[in-house]
Amino acid sequence: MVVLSSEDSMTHERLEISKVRRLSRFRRWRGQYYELPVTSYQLPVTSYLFSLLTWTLICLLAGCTGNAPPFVVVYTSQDQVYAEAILEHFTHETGIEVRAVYDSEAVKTVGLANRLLAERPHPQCDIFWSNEELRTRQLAAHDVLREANPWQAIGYRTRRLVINTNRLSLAAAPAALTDLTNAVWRGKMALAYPLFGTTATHFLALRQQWGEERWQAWCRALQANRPFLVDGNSVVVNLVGRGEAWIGLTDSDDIAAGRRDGLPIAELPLTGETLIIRNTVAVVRGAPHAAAAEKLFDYLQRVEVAEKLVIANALEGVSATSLTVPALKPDWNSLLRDLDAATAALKDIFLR
Amino acid sequence: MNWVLLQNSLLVSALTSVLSVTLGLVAALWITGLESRWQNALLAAAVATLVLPPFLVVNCWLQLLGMAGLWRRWLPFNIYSLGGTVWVLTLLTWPIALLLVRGAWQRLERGHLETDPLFGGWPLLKRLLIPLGRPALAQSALLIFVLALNNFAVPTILQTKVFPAELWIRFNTTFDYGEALWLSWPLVVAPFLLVAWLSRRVISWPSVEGPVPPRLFRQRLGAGWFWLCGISTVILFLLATGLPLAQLLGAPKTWAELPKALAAGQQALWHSFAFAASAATICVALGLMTWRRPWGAVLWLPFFIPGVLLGMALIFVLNRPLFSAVYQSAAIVVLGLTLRYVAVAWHGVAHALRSTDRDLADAARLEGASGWQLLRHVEWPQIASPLAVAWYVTYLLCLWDVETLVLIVPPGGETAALRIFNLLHYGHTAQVNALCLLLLLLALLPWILWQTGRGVAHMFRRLLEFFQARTLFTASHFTVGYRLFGNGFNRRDAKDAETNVLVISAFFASLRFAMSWPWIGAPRHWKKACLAGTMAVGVGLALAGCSPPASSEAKLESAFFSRAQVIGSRGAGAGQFSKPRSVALDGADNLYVADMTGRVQKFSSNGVFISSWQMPQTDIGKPKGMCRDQQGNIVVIEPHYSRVNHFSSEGKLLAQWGINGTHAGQLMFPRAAAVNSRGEIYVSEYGAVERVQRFTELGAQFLNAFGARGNGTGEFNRAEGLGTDAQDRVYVADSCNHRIQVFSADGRFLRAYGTAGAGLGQLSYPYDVRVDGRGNQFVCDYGNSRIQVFDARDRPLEIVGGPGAAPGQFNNPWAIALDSASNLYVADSGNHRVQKLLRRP
Repeated sequence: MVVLSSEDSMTHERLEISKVRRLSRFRRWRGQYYELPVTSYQLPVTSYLFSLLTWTLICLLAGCTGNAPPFVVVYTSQDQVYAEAILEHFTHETGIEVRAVYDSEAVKTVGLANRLLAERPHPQCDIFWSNEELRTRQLAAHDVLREANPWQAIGYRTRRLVINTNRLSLAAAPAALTDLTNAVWRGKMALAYPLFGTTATHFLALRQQWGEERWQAWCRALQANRPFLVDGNSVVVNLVGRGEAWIGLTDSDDIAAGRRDGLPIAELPLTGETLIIRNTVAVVRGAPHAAAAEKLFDYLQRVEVAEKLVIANALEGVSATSLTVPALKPDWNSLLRDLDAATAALKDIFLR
Repeated sequence: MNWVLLQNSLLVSALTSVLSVTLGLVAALWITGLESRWQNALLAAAVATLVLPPFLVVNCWLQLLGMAGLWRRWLPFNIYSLGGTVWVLTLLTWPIALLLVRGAWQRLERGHLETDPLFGGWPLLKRLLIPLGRPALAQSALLIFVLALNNFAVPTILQTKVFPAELWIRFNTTFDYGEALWLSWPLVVAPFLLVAWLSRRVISWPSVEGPVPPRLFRQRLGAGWFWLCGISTVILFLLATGLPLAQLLGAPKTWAELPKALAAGQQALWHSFAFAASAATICVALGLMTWRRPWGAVLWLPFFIPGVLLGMALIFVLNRPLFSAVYQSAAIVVLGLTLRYVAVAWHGVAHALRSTDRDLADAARLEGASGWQLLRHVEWPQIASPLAVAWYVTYLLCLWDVETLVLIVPPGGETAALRIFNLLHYGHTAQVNALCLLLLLLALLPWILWQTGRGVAHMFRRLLEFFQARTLFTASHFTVGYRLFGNGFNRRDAKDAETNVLVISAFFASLRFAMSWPWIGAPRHWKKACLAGTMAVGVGLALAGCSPPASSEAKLESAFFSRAQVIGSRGAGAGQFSKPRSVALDGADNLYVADMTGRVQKFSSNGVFISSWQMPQTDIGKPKGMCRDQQGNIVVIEPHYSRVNHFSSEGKLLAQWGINGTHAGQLMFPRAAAVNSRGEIYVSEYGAVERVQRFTELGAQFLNAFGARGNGTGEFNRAEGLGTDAQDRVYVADSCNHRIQVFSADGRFLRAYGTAGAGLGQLSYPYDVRVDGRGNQFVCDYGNSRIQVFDARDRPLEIVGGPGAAPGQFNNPWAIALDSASNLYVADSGNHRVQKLLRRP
C-alpha cells in the first residue's frame, strides 16, 4: 500500500482540483449540449444492445427472400387500377409474378424516369410501361433502354380542350388554341404548368409547328390572360368541372375520369393542334430478368391489352394510325434537342 | 435563381409558421384545461386534421371560397392568393404545434400553479407556460416552416408561385440533379438559420410530481382566457377538420368504394403502418442512444433537403450488388424514412431526457441502480409522454411521406400514400376518398391500440391479482408448451380454445411473478436465472412444440361427399408438403403428391406416408402435372425441362421422353397429362404454344395436336388441367378462359361450358378437371378456392368448400384426382396439404 506524504497528498489534491476544473470548464463549454451534473453516469450497456437490435431489425427487414418464384419488375405510369388487372392476368397466364412500381401525381411524373436513370449502373427494373412518349425517348437517349427494339408504342390518347357545359356551350367554345389568348377568356382558363408532363410536351410540339417567334408571342399572351396554372391535368378537370374555370387544356383520359365522376364537362373535337400521346412499353438495358421481361414486353403489346385500356377510358384508341383528323406530328429528335432552350423560355414566361 | 419565387416561398412559410404556432398554442391552452376524456377526443381530432390530405382540404376551401364558392358572396376573400395559401397551409399544420406544446406542458406541476393565487391569466402565460413550452414551440415552428417551404401542390393550386417549382423543372425536364441540388440551397439554408436562432440555451424543467389537474389549470388561466381559447379552438376545429371531413364522409361514393379500396389496398395499408411504425421506433431509439451527441443540428439536414434528392442519394449509395439485400427490400424504405425524420424524434427525445429530475437520478445511482434500472424506474416515467408524442409525430410524418419513397420503394412495396397519389392522378376520386379514410384510421391506430392496451393491461392486472400466480409457476410452463405451441392452436373446437385462454393467462401470471421480484435486495443471479429459465423453457417448448397437426376431419354439406380428411401439413419433412401442385393415384389407390420441394411422396389410401423420391433435376423448375398410365405407372411432367417421366410405384424411373420445341410432337412447357383407355397420353402445353398433343404409349409416336391460342371455340389460354372419361373424351381446364372444353378422343371440339365468376356454374381459373364413372365432372376451381361439380350435361350441381383453412375448405387448390371409389383428392396448395373428400355411398 502506498502512503502519500502530506506533500504528495497536497500535490495530488491540487492535481485533482485542476482536473476537476478542467473537466468543469470542458463541461461548461459543452454546456449547450450537456446539462447533466458532473456525476453523470456512463451510457448504459443496454443502449448498445438497443443499437444492435435496431440494426438487426434493419437487416431482418432486408428481406428473407428465400426461394422466390419467377418474377419481373415493371415501372409504370399507367392508371394503377387498370394496370394491376392487366398484370394480374399476365401472372395467371405465365406464372410469372409481376412486381410493379407505380408513378405518383405528387412528384409530377418525375419519379420513375429519374429512378431509372439513377439505377442505370445496376438496373432493378425490367420493363418501363409509360403513358407518354417523350419520357421514353428521353430515356432511350440516355441509354437507359436496350439497344435492339428498345420500345414500342401501344394505344394513344390526346390533348384536348375541355369546357364546363354549364358555363359555356360548344358553339361558343374556342375553336383553336390560338383563341385562348382572346380577352374573353381572361381568368377563365386552366391548364397544368407547361413545364411538366404532357402539357410541356404539347407546348414543345406547338413550338416546333409554329416557329419560335409566333409560339413565344402566343405563350406570353396566354400568360397575360391570367390562366389558372395548376400542378396536374386532373386538377384542370376538377377546376373546370367545379366552374372555377370555364375552359381547360388537359388529357383525354382525365376528361373521361371527370365525366365518370359526373362533372358537367365536355371535350372539344380534335383539331390540327391536337397532340397524340402514345403509350409505350420498353425493355430496360441490362434488365435483371431478361426472359420474363421479354414475355411481358410481348404481352403488353397485345391488342387485347390496349382494348382493355380503351374500355376503361385510360386510352382513346388502340392505334393512332386509325385517326383521320390531322394532328401535330412532332419531330421527336429535334424536340429533344431543343428541350433545354424551350424549357428556359417557358420558365421565363410562366414562372415570373 | 428566381428570387421572386424564393421570396414567395419564404413569406408563405414564415406566415404559416407564425399563424400555426399561435393557433396551436391557443388550442393547447384550452385543451389542457379540459377533463381527460375530452382531451383525448380533441387530440384525436387534431391528429385527424394532421392526417387529412392536402388536396382534400384545398378542394373543400375552393368549394367554399373559389370563384363559384358557396361563401363567395358574403365573404369576398380571394382564396387564389398568397393569403389563401397561408390560410390553407395553416389549417393543415397547426396540430403539430398543439401536440408538441401539450407534450411539453406535461411537466407542469401543482406547485407551479399554486405558488401564488394571483398568478394567472396573461402573467401565467407569459412567465410560465410559454417559457416551459418554448422548445416545443420552436421545434414546431421549424417543422411547420420546412413543411410549408417544401410544399408545392397547395400554393400551385392557389396560384402562388413558389420556389420548389424550380426544382421540379430540373428534375422533370432536364434530369439535372446537380443543378437541382444546387438550387435547393435556399430550402436548406433558411431552415438552418432558423435552427441556429431557435437553439438558444433553454431552461430544463424537470418534473417531480404528476401532471396538473385540469380544474386547477382552468382556475389559474381564468374564465376569460379559457373560453376565448375555447371558442377559437372550436371554430378552428370546425374549419380545419369538420368541413373537409364532412365532405369526405358525406359523399356516398366514398362508402361505396370503401370495401373495394380496402380489398385492393390491404397490402399498401399494411406497408404504410409497418414502415411508419418501424421508422418512428428506430428514430426514437436512436434518440435514446445518442441524445448526448452534439450532432442535433446536422440531423436536420435530411429533413430540409427535398425528399426526392434524398431518394437519389440513397439510390447512388445503395444500388450496388453489395447492398442489394437492403436496396431490394423494405429496409431501404425504413432507412429512408429514418434518415428523413430522425431529427424530429431526436430533438423530442433529447429535450425529454434533459428535462428529467437530476436529483432523482442521483439518488437512484447512490442506491446502486444500473443504467437499465435507471432508465426503467427513474427516467422512463418522466419521459414516457414526451417520447410518445415524438414517436407519434414522426409516425404521422412517415405515414404521409411520398417524395422520399417514390424513388426507393421496392417493387410491390407501395404504401397507401403512394397509392392515393397514383389514383388521384387518374381521377379515381371516390377510391381516393375511401383510401384517405382508411389512412385516417391508420393514423389513429396507435392511439387506439394504446387505449385498448391500457384497458386490457388493467384487466389482466386484476386477473393476476386474483389468481395465485406462484402456485401456477411451474405447471403452467409445461401446459403452455404443449397447448400453446403444440396441437392446441391447430384445433378448432371451442373447448380447446377456452383451455388455451386459461393457460395463456396462467403463463403470463407466472411470468409476471418471475418479473415482480423486487430488483433491489434480491440476489441478482437468482433473478437473472429465474427470468432466463422462464424464457428458455417457454422458447424451448415453443420450438419443440411445433409439431405438425394430426389429420383432422370435417363433415361436408354435400350431396356427393360426406367428409373431408386432411392429409399432411406444411413442411419439408416426410409426410409434409410445400405447396403441393399435383396428385395422382395408382391401381391400389395409393396417393402420389408432387410439391414445390421437387419430391413425389407416396401415401396409402388412408393418408399414411409410405415413401418418397426426389425428381432428378429441379434447378430450373419443379414438377407439375401427374396421372397414371395404362401400366399403372405414375406419370410426372417436368414443365421447365419439357419432358414426361414414368415412375414405378416405388419411384424407379422407367421412361422419360420429350424434346424441347414447338413443332408437332415436341414439347414446350407442358402442364398436364391424361391417359385414355387405349393408353394414349394427352399432354397440354401453354406459353409459347397453346395446344394439347396426343401420343401413343410412352410418347413413342406423335398422333395429333389440337387447339391454338385464343378464346374462341377450340382455342386455349393456359390449358392447365386434363381429364378423360369412360368414352375417352378429353376434358380441358382452359383456365385463363375460365371454362372447360370437351373434345373427342381425336381432338374434335364437342362442347364447352363455364364463364368467369364466382357464382354457381361460374369458374375462376379452373386448374383441373376429373370425370367419374357416371359422367359427373369435378372441377378444381383455383380462383374461387373450391370444387365445383357438374353433371354429364354440364349443368352445375353443387359447390364444395370455399376459401379457408379448416378441413373442407381450400386455398387456391391446384389439382384433383379420383380413386376407384370416386373419393376425390385435392391438392390444397395454399394450405400446404392434400384433402380427401370421401364419397357418399
